[in-house]
Amino acid sequence: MLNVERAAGTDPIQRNLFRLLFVSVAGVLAPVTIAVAAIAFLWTPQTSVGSVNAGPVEDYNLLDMVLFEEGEFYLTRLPDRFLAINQRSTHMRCKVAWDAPSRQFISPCDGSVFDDKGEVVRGPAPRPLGTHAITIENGELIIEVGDENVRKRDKYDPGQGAEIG
Amino acid sequence: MIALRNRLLRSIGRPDDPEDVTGQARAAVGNFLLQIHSVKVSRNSLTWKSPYGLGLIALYMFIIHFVSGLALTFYYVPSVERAYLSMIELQSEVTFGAFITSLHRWSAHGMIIFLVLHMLRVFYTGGYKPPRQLSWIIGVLLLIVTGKLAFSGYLLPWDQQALWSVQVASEVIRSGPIFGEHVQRVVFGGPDIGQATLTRFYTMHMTVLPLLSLGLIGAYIWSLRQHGGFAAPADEKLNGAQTATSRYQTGGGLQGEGAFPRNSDKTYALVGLVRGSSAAAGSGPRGTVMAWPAVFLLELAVLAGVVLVMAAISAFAHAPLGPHADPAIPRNPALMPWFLSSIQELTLHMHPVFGGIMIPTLFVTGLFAIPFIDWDRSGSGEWFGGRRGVIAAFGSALAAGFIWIVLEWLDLGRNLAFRLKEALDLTKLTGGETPKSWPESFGFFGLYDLTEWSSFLWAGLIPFLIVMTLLLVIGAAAKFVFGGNRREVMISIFTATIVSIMVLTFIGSAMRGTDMNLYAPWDRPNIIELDRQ
Repeated sequence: MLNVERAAGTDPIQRNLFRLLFVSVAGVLAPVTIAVAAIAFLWTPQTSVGSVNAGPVEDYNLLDMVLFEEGEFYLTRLPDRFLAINQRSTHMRCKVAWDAPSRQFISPCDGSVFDDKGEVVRGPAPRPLGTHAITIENGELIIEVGDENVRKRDKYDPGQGAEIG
Repeated sequence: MIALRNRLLRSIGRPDDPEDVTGQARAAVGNFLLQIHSVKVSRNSLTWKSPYGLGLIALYMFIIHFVSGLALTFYYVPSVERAYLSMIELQSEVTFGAFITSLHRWSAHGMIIFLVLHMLRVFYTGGYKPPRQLSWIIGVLLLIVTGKLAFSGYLLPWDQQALWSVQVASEVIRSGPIFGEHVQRVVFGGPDIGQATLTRFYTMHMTVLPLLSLGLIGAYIWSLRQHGGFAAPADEKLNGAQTATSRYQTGGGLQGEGAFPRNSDKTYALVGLVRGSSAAAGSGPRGTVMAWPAVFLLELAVLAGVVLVMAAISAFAHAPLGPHADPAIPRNPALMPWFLSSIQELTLHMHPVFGGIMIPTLFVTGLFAIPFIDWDRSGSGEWFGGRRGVIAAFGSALAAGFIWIVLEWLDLGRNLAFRLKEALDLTKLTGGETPKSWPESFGFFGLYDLTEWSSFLWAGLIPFLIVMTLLLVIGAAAKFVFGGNRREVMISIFTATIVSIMVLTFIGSAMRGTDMNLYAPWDRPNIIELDRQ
């Protein structure tokens, strides 16, 4: 299309076209490059945990509520099973705090209240807190963690926990 | 000695003492800084009737904020281990440390308040009208950057309040559609507020945002000057019937009918400032004063006044510093900074995507759109565009305030729509099953919760539509019931929005207490004291 030899210096129209082409391509490329590089640079690397070993079953008493900060979940022992409750409120995703005297979770950012099985006592949270899968291997509790492993639910159901064998 | 003094002064570039009009004009034009005003400034813009000083005070607040911030950098250490300790050191050991810290904090708040007041003044006097659209756009950008400046500084003391208010904002951003989580990672450095966040906020607060503010302030003043200073009403509207000279509009060289009308039937024109008793000398545009010295001295006086008032406030009221930030101990309640608490208040009643992202985005878009909705030049510089505009503003303010108080009262249990849903008991309709989820392909709000049809409807769309309907009904009433023109309809919608924000801000920042319950403002438990326990 473009005659390179002529564009190199003789024909003013071709030269202008070339200049226009260069200015527009470079004018788009330069800011896009800088923007992409800046965003990529600011993108923090994330490490995911995978699973957490919560130790032997015997370490837990009935109705204990233990926070695992790294895995962002509470582990509780019900009469016949363990339940791992995700710490993030289902409304604003803030981490809920366990209020031992009232045996409730309270979300500080949206004021939602959940009971000791993670079910909603008061809104705005629309649904119970998520749960994590628990497996008991050689008497030790292994909990799957990470955002992609949080299981949504509409109400409490014994199947969400792991039965003590 | 006097000769030396004169020589020194002249070397700085100041002309001889300007005693006559020409000299005073030269003083204003010939000095780099003094060029911010035209040679003559409308007398009307200096009266309390059009308090143009609001923007000026915001600028002075920025200067105080800038200088006191510069001082704080000599002691502050942006690390999660040291930041709080350096705040303690500033507050208790450094001479004037608490004073400077308070000055910095209060001037940030003052900057936001006066910038908003300035915006209201510009809006209600039609200062956004052509040719000042660009000034309005720059002003809105400036408001956004100022908000970010104040917000980024909020984290730096690294006390409980700082940590948890930023945590809430972080979660609101994360709820955003498609890019939410990525934006959170770029802005906050990860899902949890930690060293990465502090470093980022510090850098933004120290370099990027001040530079942006300075650039925008420069651009704002420049555009103001380009368009002939402040929007001012025509003489005849203010002073009643006058002579032929009343056709001159004050305050605007480039304004539609400028200082010297273009379509005049006169066969002569004033082409320059002249000495002596020429026909036009000394008359020029009506109702103006020379910028030098009156206006500049007045501005200096305002600067001194603002500095003194801020110094007095900071000397007596010190910026509070709570206990050390601890991500493991949630603050109850975790409240956003007061200038964002209207957003948090909205998210209590609906999903954060709607309350925290969509409504604020629509609001900012609306602000940008104002000069392009009402581009009629007439009425520029007139408060509310006349008596009907005043009625539109007051009526919609009352309506919006009343509706919001009723809505808040109805929704005391949080999330009215969800209570409606429970009252209707949708599960019965679907035969005991919980309502079906959206198909997986509906991933727009895919991060959590809103993938469910019922959540999307009851926690998202319905409350969102309630808010939008509120504003539209007020606008429609202004148009169809009261037959308002374009500007009056816009005044009513804008006023309703601003009043809504004010009501929500007040409830969100002064009435939300423990567990996000509503308290009377004087009855609310002191959150900082609760932190200490």
